[in-house]
Amino acid sequence: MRIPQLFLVALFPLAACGPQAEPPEAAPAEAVVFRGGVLEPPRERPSFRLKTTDGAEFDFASETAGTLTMLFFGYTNCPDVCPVHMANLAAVRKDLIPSVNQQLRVVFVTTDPERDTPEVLARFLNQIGGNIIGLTGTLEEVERAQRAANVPPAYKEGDGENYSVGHMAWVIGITPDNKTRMMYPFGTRQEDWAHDIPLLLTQFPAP
Amino acid sequence: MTWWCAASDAAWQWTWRWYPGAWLAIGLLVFSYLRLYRNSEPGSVSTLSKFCLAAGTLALWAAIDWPIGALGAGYLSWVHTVQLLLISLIAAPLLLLAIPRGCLDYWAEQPRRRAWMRALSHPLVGLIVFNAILGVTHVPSIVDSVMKTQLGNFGIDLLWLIGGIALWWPVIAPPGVARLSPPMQIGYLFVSTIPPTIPAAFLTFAKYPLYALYELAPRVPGMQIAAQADQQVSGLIMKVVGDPILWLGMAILFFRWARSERAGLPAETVRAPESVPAA
Repeated sequence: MRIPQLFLVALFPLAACGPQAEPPEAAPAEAVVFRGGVLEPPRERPSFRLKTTDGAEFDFASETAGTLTMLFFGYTNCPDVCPVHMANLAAVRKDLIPSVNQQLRVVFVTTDPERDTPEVLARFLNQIGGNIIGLTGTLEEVERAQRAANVPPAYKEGDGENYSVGHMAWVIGITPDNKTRMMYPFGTRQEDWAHDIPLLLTQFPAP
Repeated sequence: MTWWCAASDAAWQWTWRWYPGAWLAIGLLVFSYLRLYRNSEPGSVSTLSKFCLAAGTLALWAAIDWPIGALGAGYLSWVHTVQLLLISLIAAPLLLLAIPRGCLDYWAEQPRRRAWMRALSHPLVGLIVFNAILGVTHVPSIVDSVMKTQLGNFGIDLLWLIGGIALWWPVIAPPGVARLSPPMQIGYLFVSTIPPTIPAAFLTFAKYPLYALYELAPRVPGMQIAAQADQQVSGLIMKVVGDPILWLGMAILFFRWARSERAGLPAETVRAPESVPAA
């Protein structure tokens, strides 16, 4: 296992001299280039109440206050965007240093509460891993949550049991200073997450 | 119309899809070989040649058609590597072996053709062509852009076949054309296992997925695998499955050589071009 790594290090000595995976020092915000889209001006952390997959009440604003929160509205039957977006975010979490990981919350709100029962949602998120918090509620509650997050409400496409749900495919990044600052479209890659997450924590610390 | 497998944003479905380009390519290949067999001298087409044609065609067909071709083109990196092995390391040598020996000897009689065949049988040519193709077709920016188009994906499949033919030619070239003695052929195949270690190591040990194509591809129902694990498996297959195929080639060469030595026969490969009848 180690020999090819050593080989690569020998092949690219400059790469081996690069900085370690420590959180970067805080730099002036205007000098920092994020890989995600920056919202100008930033908005307040959204406030809504839903239920976790255990059935417990979850007050989003207070439960996630002071943390870097990645909020996504999607559904478990999504054939493409939702599982890929969440899986990539979950994969990056495994490589983050513990101090960074502890300050990160990833929240998945189902936009299809009819089919995404708490059990279905829990199974879906367990398969993905990455300690993603799953939230659900009635359709009205979920729509209220989307409006609070300034996201257009999701809508059903098609009839019957195999309908799909049109929803925004962006992950919303809410920084520890309780501002909604970032938008991550589908296409954001693992190395982009790994780049931005530590930077967001150092640039916008909790008040 | 979708004539060749290419990457797509559409969710994967386990329902058969027709790729007419793949069928046409296989049809043309088989037609060309059958014509070659018909025009060959009676008795010159051995059962082994026919078997190699059937097996080589099947390997190529499996690699470029649904489902392997479609999965490898845009959904799973490890299936893409399986395609590489099927085309370059299995189909290419089998299709070379399917050419009747008499045909190769006949082609080699013409000085210009013999010069070309002999130049291509230089081991360095085989190593450089195969590994250059292997390297270029694994550059992330190339994979991410080229494989989204049917023509680009067709080009990659074709390049892999060309690379495979270049790799195996120094071993399969007929007497009078071949430059390597049997032990040197075995050594050549051994050396061939070394350069692919570089792309395989990159795939296996990269910290994050290298290809946006596979990282962002819709997940395949029934084949749940994380993007990083998919890439690692891809790198492992390149070595763990690819190398034994070359070892098998080495073993066949060794036992054939040992048998001819025991029987006191001259080695099949001759170095001197003078032994070839003048055109």
